[in-house]
Amino acid sequence: MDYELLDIYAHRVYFFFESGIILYVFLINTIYFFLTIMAYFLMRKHHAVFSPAEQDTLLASPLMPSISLIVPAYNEAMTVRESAGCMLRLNYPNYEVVVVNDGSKDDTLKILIEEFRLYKSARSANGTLPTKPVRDVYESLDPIRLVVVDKENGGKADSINAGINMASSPLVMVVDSDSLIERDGLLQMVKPYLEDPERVIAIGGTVRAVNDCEVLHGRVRNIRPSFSWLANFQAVEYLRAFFGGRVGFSLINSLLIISGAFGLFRRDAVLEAGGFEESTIGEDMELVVRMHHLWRRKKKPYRIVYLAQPVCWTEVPQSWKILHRQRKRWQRGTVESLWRHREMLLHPRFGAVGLFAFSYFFCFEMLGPAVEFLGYFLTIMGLIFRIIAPSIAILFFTVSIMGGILLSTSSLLLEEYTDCRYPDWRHSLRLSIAAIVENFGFRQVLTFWRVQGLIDGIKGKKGGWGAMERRGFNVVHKS
Amino acid sequence: MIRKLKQCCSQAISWFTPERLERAVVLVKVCLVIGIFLCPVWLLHLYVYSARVRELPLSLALSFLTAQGSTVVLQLVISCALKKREEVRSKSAEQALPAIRACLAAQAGGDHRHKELQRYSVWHQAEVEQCLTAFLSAVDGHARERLTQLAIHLGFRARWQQLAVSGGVVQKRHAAHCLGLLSAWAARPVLRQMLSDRSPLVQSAASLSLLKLGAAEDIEDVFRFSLQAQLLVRAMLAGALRPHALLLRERAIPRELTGKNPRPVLTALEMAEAWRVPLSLASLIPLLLHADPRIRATAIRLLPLNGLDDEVELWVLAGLADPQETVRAAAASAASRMRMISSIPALERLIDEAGDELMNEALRALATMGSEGWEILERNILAPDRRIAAKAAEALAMAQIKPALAHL
Repeated sequence: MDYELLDIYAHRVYFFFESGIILYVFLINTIYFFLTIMAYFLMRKHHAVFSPAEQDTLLASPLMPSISLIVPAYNEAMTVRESAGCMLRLNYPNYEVVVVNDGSKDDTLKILIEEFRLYKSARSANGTLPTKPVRDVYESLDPIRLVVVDKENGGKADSINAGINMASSPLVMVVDSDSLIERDGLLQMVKPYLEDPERVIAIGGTVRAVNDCEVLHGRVRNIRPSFSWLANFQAVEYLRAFFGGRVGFSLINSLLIISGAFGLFRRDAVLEAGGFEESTIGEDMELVVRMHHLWRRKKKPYRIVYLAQPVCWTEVPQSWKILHRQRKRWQRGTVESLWRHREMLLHPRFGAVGLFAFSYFFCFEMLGPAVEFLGYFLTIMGLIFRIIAPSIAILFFTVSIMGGILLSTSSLLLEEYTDCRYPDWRHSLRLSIAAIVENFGFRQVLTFWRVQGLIDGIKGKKGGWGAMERRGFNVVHKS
Repeated sequence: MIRKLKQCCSQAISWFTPERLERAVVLVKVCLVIGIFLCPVWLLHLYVYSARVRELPLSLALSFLTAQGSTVVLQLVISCALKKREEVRSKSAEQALPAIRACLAAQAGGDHRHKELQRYSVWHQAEVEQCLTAFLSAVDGHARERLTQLAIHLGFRARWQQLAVSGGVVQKRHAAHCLGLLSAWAARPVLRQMLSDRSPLVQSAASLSLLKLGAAEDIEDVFRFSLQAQLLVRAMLAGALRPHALLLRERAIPRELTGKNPRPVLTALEMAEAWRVPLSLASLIPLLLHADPRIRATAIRLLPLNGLDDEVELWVLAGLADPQETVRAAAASAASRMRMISSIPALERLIDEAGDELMNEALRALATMGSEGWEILERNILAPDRRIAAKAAEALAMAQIKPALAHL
């Protein structure tokens, strides 16, 4: 009798848990769907890139603010030549490139010295952010505005801080050394600052996968999906993350992430915030959250903006091992950033950031993978031990997997309507297939890795540079 | 009571800034779309599946599955269809473009091809518009006049005028650009009207088009408009107004410099500085005594463009003793550009007493002063303050390396 009662209670508790998880997953997907549709309306409205005539005028304008591009590099011998070359060929009237070699063990520095005819310069730091000692500063003999800072190894955040110290412009852009910025990227990126220079303190752009696209003279040509399905899954994922989430949060000035691969900051604001934090692995997110924290606390008007049009192309991992490391690191970064600023959670003083964005990130981005993983586990166990009805399992998988497919295809369609970088319909088809297939296996693996990252984050595990196995860009040489 | 109510209402209305209103509109639209998506799910559950499937979760799951599946398939079809349509359109355009171009060339040259072009514009309106704007931007004089008449005849001007008033930001900018290609008489009134548009991008597009029309009155008006506009518009117009800088220097800039509002005065000075246009000392001297330190600093930076004479030297020395750091830094920069040896003692004093920016400026200025300045820098390389030592070494090295680099 007692066993029967226990069994009934166990079933009820199980059902209660399962229903809660289904509701949770449904809520996440609905919020994402909400944000994606929001992005559609906003991007249609604000898709106001400069026309060629306007670009020409801006390029000739003496009033354009100067920008320092900070490029931290660690063991980037494979890509640094192309990416530094690409960064020196951008369409912008007034900018300098500051490459920071973070004590690379490979030939990164040697390649830079040979390729750009560098000499040891007496240039010294303008900022006061604490960093590891700078060994030497190099500038080019050629008439190009390239500065190379060679410093002792201290991690990515430390390198960016060294770059910010060395920068001489009021605006700094942080770019990964394995990334390629589109030629008009800087011009597009600076637009919100020109519209509202008093309030705009940070601007984020879109990062996309460059794998297997052709690169000619540091410029991405013949944009197409990769031959690797793993890269295509990530391409779709990037679209979903950037177009889906960030546009909506940017609208309510609650953007918590500006990608470290492509972000423009007001230098004085970064210095005021204390620069990039070295002790955290997600230094990009941490800085943005800290800026929100400080500016809201000081009650100073500010804006942190995301722009969908300027694109930075980056090589995404094509090996499961590297991807595993990357995703664990990202999740750990999220946990660290959110935990560090947990005071903001649901605190009305921090406005929409505390009430919506922070709580969304806390409940869904940080804890989401654990709940989703628990959902898969409980559903499968429930089915095996016949604790739950198959209908509940079907409902869970429908909400979780079909919801995911809907989100991915919506993001693709959004891309089609607004940016449309893949002109061939076969490419769209290929990506659409990836958008469907990624929900069967790939997403679940990512969820598992993110759970591992969450655990690492809770444990407080530390980490340095995310070592990435470079394949190099698909460079084509044309006479 | 009524007064309080009114107060509340006015507060509520003022809370709805354009930014917030936009957010609210977007949120309502999104809710509508989600509602439209969820309605069929509920209807499917209610009328299709709940009758056939007894279990509620399964019925809900199937409804979701059907709705989501159909949406996904629809999205994929739309996505591929859009691409295919674009492909077909571009192929057909490729065929039509040469003929359209030939017709337009003949029309511009004096032939009458109205009918043929009208026929083309029925099926290939976008291509005709594209070619017409390309031709309009390439021709002038009589040919432009003929093409303007053609644009009016084919209804393009009316369309652009309509877009200029009622379109979205992208359309308005396009309209402003196209109208700016027409002859002045056909576009000017609309373009002037567009200067008061809410969007800065539309304002700047209209300003650029007005500048293209080239009337002196328009140039001065656009300059005046730019002084009050936001940085984006100013940046665009600073480039476009540059060729007219000498014209503006004669009348428009001095007139603006006498205004009481400091913002346009400062902006006018910044424009002049950006164009490197020398302004007369008579118009600059009152500004060197202005209460706003930003205006004083910018005015001092403009002094070297007039060349070094006793009066300029005195004003720069006065600037080096200004109570405001930004003004002193501007004076140091001016002294450096004129290689004003008499400023060396004042520059040396600035190294120790001031913040980073001023120190840098003073050291850089000393580096341009030749051996006398270099001696001071060499002394400062040994300074106990590491910041000063590093910056002094940098300034000295730059001064010595630059000529060598130029030689290379």
